[in-house]
Amino acid sequence: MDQKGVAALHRRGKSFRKTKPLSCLCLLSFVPTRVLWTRTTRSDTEKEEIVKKTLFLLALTAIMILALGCAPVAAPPPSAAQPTAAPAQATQAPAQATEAPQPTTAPPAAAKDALVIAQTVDPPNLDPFNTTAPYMSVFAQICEPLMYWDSDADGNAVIKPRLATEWNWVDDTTLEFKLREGVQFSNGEPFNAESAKFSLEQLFAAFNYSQWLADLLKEVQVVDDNTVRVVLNKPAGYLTSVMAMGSFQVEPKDFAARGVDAFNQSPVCTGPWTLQEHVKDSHITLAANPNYWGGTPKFKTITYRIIPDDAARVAALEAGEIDIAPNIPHSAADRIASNSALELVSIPSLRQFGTHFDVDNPKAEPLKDARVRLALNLAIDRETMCKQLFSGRCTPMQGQFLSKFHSGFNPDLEIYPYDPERAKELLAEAGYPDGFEVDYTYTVGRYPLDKQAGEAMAAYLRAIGLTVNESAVDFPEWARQFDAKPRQTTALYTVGFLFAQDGYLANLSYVPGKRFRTSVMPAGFDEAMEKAGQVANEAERIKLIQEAEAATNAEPFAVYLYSIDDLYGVQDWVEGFAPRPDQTIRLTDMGVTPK
Amino acid sequence: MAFSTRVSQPVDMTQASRGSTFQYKSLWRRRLGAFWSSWANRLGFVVALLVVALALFPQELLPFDPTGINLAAAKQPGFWAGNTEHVLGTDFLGRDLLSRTIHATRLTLIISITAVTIAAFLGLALGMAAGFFGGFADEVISWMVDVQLAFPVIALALAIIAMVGGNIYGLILVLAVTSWASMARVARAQTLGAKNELYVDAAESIGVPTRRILIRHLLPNVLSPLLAVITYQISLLVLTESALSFLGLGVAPPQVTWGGMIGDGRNYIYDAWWTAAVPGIMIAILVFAFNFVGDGLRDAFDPTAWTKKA
Repeated sequence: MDQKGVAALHRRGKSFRKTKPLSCLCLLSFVPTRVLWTRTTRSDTEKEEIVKKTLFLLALTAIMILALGCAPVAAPPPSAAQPTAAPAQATQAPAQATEAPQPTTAPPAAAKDALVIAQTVDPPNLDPFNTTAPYMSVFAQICEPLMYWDSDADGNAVIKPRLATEWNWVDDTTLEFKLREGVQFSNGEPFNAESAKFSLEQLFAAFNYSQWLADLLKEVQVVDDNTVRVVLNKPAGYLTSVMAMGSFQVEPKDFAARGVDAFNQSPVCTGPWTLQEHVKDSHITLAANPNYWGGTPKFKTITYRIIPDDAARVAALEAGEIDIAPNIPHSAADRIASNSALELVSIPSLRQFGTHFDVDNPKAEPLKDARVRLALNLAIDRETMCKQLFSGRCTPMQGQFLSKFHSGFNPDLEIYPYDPERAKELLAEAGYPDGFEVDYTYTVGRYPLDKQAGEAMAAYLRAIGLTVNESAVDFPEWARQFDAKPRQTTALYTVGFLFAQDGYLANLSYVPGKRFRTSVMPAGFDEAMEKAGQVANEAERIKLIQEAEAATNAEPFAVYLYSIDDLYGVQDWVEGFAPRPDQTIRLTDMGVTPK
Repeated sequence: MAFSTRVSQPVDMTQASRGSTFQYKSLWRRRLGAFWSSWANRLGFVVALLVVALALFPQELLPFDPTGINLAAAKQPGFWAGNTEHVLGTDFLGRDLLSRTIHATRLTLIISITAVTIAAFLGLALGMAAGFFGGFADEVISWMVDVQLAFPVIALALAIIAMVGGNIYGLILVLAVTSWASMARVARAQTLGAKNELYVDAAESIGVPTRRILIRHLLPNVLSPLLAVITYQISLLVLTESALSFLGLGVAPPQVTWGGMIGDGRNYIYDAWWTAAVPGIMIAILVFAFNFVGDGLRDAFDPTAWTKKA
């Protein structure tokens, strides 16, 4: 569910490394000052000696800083850097590595044809069947899916075609795709029903999709050169939703020739760019694919610079070294918004924050009462939290588990009012007129302002008479508690979950037996979900999910909080950057071009 | 000298030749007099007392609940912007900074003073043992002190807190562990110097038990310089504690220390600087005050420095 935790760990490790040149400077500059301070009388020759030594040490320091600071970028030793070049560019890639034009040095008047994107995490590989958002932000430029999630003008989630031109259910268990004609892979091989069959079989076998697709596929049939059929074991109307998350198409011959591991390092697909080089913890460079079916891409090169540290990423953006920077910290938002060379782009995230209940915890007895769960929801002033903590860059949950960006969102429900008096009444009705004691955990440093929000949440709960024992933990510790057997989470904990755009898939984590079902689910939820899993008709399915949402409103199974906007910083000359709620960057879908 | 006007002691004949205004005073009085003679020491002492008074301030009399939030009043500037309700402004959750700063004084001081006390006992015992017994015990203890002093404080703190968990006890343990070594050093040096004195030899020769020699004859020699070290260490530990709280390794909310307040406020340094500045100024004041006091005590208890002044 949450691969960003790993990223956070990664990030922490790296910020230490960055301090190396600085600490060297401190240590070295300490030496001459010691010499000067410890003695007061000395001869001229001695003084001269000291000055010489000082200068020598300063020079040495400067050289070391240069060497340390530039080593990974300017002169990567070939053995350590491991550039993984795509086979097509294998011969020229190493030579280009050091000569790659720096976008920052290009004169501003000239038409820009190189785009630099900041990357928070270095993907270990570019496996097109991975679902981790920051990894997908790289390989989605190289590979293309059959279809993808987009938003219509009203912001509702819709599925749009890419390599498939249309699809329809032949019967309850058979989905037929018409494939785009005249498409070829970057190595010249044609994209057709045979290659699509291969990719679809990979998709159904992929670990990252197994939670939705395991044991579902009966077979993939090739009908004609541009038509494939997916035949399932049982009805699953949500299949298109899963496939829109990433039904990326790979080239079967190269896949077979090089094997899965080598292929995943430099996948061969149909996308507008191909991998040129990948230098671990430094950068990833993509080059335009001359065979691209959609015409020559506007950018000749796309460079991803791996910058895990928030402050460093913002600084690089402000200095013009980066054209698109994801994960802008909320504290830097106003500064970027007021910078005339930059644009601050925001989008309500799919990541839904909630204070969840672990009713199996022996101390969570009161939370089994639906009235208590409703009382906690009424005790929180979400709108003020959004306005004051996140400067309004935040959307309160609308009285249900799903956010507006999920299909199946129920627009008839309303934000729970802030009504501490009613909350106290409900507690009294449930038999807790004086409140009760509860342990509450929130993460620190994982999400924007998570500690502040956690403290506010605890204070709101105290205001209706609860005794709250707060503990602030880092995310890995929370994840350890959550995944321990038996589970060790406290009765209450606040986290943000990023689930699939399809409301059914998001809710699927809460059906009986699933990992996230730690609370008492409302009556009607399971029934609606079970029915929704079986219907193929999209409208009918959405209606069932909306029913499930109505049930979660009457009897909340968590304190639904808000979704915080994702913030991106973009240079003014970049046009068409439209962030996606799933936190991936897909340049073709967004239509990013130079202004 | 401040005390010279109070003529109540008999004249010390041995020193009478130095001037007829000189009055005999006990050693402690002379030391305190020396301490009080400097304006910096007096200022430091008074300010340190005020900080302690803040810590003892009854929590019921605070103008606002230090942990109660009011998001609608978040990030209000203080008196410099004409705010009479929240004189020092409010933080990002709308908590009154004046109440919160006073509230945090107590825990800040409790943590540092408890840690210093533990460290002082530990350092005193080990340092005196090393100095008095010498030999193998000295080598082991001195080696431990050297290792402790060479080890980076924050790295050690991270390791201990990872084991104990980020609560008040873990924090006190960390701070005690980081400061015992310098105390042990002073105790050892003082014991080494005093143990060869004639009165110690005399006590030994008439069969006074070791325990009594340590407590009656050596401890007074060690205590006074240690007092100066302790005062320094309190201010150092306030700083270390704030560094740890800043890194998020301090006490868990709703408990709060000044360091924790700065850590919370750093996100708002651009739009609400006072959330970090108010506790920051308090730490600066406290560290200055205790450093002045520590400096003054060291001078006052240093016999050579005192003779020169007199």
